[in-house]
Amino acid sequence: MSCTTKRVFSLIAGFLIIFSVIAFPSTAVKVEGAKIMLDVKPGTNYVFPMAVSTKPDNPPSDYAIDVYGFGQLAEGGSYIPLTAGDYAGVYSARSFVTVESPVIHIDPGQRKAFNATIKVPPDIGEGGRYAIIHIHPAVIQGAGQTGFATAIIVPVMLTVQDTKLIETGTITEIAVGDIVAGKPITVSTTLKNTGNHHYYGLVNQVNVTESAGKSLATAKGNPTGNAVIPGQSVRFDTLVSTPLAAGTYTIKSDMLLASGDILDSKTTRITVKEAYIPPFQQTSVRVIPESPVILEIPEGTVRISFPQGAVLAETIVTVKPYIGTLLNLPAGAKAGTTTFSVDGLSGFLGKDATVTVRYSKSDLDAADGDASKLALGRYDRGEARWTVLPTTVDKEGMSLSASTNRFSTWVVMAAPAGAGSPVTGGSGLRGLGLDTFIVFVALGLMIVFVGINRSKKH
Amino acid sequence: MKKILFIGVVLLMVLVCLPVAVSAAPIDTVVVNGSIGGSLDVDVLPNTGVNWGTMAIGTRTDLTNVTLNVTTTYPSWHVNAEDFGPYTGYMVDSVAGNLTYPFELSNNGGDWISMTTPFTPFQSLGPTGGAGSRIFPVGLRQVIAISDEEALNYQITITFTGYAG
Repeated sequence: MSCTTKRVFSLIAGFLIIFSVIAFPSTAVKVEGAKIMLDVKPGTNYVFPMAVSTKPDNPPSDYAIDVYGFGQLAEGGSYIPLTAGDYAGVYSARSFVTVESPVIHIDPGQRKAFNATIKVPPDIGEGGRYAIIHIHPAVIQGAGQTGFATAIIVPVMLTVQDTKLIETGTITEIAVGDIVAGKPITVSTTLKNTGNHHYYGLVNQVNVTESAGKSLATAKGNPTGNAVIPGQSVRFDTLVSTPLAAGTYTIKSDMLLASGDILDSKTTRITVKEAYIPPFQQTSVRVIPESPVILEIPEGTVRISFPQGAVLAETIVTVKPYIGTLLNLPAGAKAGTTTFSVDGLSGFLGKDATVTVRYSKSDLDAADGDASKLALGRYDRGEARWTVLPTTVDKEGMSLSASTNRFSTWVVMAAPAGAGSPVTGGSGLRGLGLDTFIVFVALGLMIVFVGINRSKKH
Repeated sequence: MKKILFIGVVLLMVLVCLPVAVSAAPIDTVVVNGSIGGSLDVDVLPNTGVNWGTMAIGTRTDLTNVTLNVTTTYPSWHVNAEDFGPYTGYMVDSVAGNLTYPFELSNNGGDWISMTTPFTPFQSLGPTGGAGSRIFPVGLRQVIAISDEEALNYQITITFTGYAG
């Protein structure tokens, strides 16, 4: 064997050794026994069987199994592990729970069973006790530039048998978000569990009353699916969408248990400086290829006109308010408050549809009162960017219209000059859409080529 | 000699029996279930991660290749997404350092969320009807600034943590 061949073999062996040593976390993990919810007797040990497994195409992985205190994020009440340095509260079961091994090695597709042992002290006291078993990769860095890892949090929720369970709570804060036309008003209520036992299914019910005491609206949030643990504070957001004239209103928040019993109530007052217009109703229509179809929301804010042949097959199209954040708007553009998304159409239309949007005073404010600066913006997901569409502005009707061959998220925006060739004045004028422009360029090129061809023949 | 042996055996028996007698009396041990109860399976594909090649000025986006797959018997579950690396939320190269802009994640075409803070919940179902298998698209985005050093080895690992509610 030559010296060069030996070197090559040495290099290959070296690489193989390096690759065998590098360990990536598994991107799939399954935990059996992923929630421990027991009624326990003081002075009793409980052995809870569990198992961890990965998939056959995952790399060999080491999973750490740690026992922590039970914490919750204020926003939504997500369960989070509280490490040894964090005070876990008087209702912590961290010291009762042990697992057989702090680290488990799992080969591809392997399943490893183990036990969690819960030693309930004889003098445990009343109510509930809580801990978290965190099963997570021992190695953080995943494969690839953007790597992935997976972990499981096992909530441990113990209820001491034959003791008095106290399920009480106190609202510590009620806050009302910005009041913006076209966006729902968010009422955030923070509740602290002041009892000794957890509860599920909490709902924030919000009532709006005018200064004379007349009830205007009642809104209920959705239960989160997370329990609220004793000592923890969780924020519950409820959206209010009811028209409000300028004035002062009382907002009352009731925190309801799943049984309907009220845990606590609190009120606050808000001042609406100018009339509040809520977001429009979600509206759907069946679009068919054989005939033109108009999709118009009841409030008249958005109207989409599909010509005959716009779609190739029957499709349900839905318009709904978009309440998320609008990121990466074009340079110099400023978003108004009218935003919406159109769902149900994944590809291009056979023929352009016309979108007409009634702009609000808040939209006009974004353009410093100059309606000619307003345009319709469409977010193109495939290109991850906004397209400012050539828009016709009808100042008298306070509406904007544009042609489009695709749909996603839309916004009324104040666009920089020339961004979408906005046209001012009365109705009837249309700017050139980009796709139409391409068609004209293609036609022009075709004429030129035909001309050259003919001149050659002559 | 016999006496010493006899005393030793007696002492040994006392030592062996005493702890059992002491500990066995007040503590019961209960093995919970013969079989294991519910399960939660969190799977992110592709397991090789996503590679964008040399990171030069511009925006790298992936909206179609990554999915979160959740299979569970629990009616309520949540999955959070978080970067546990030393530069929380930023792609890092050991030589070039971290990129100017944070790494962003989106759930099923929703808002882009900076990973400088945990994305909670990235996805959840419940309080009822969450059991079964479901697939959710995961969007990835990284903006690279003009001031960022062009490099191949920028890296970030996003950990998806699931729990039953």
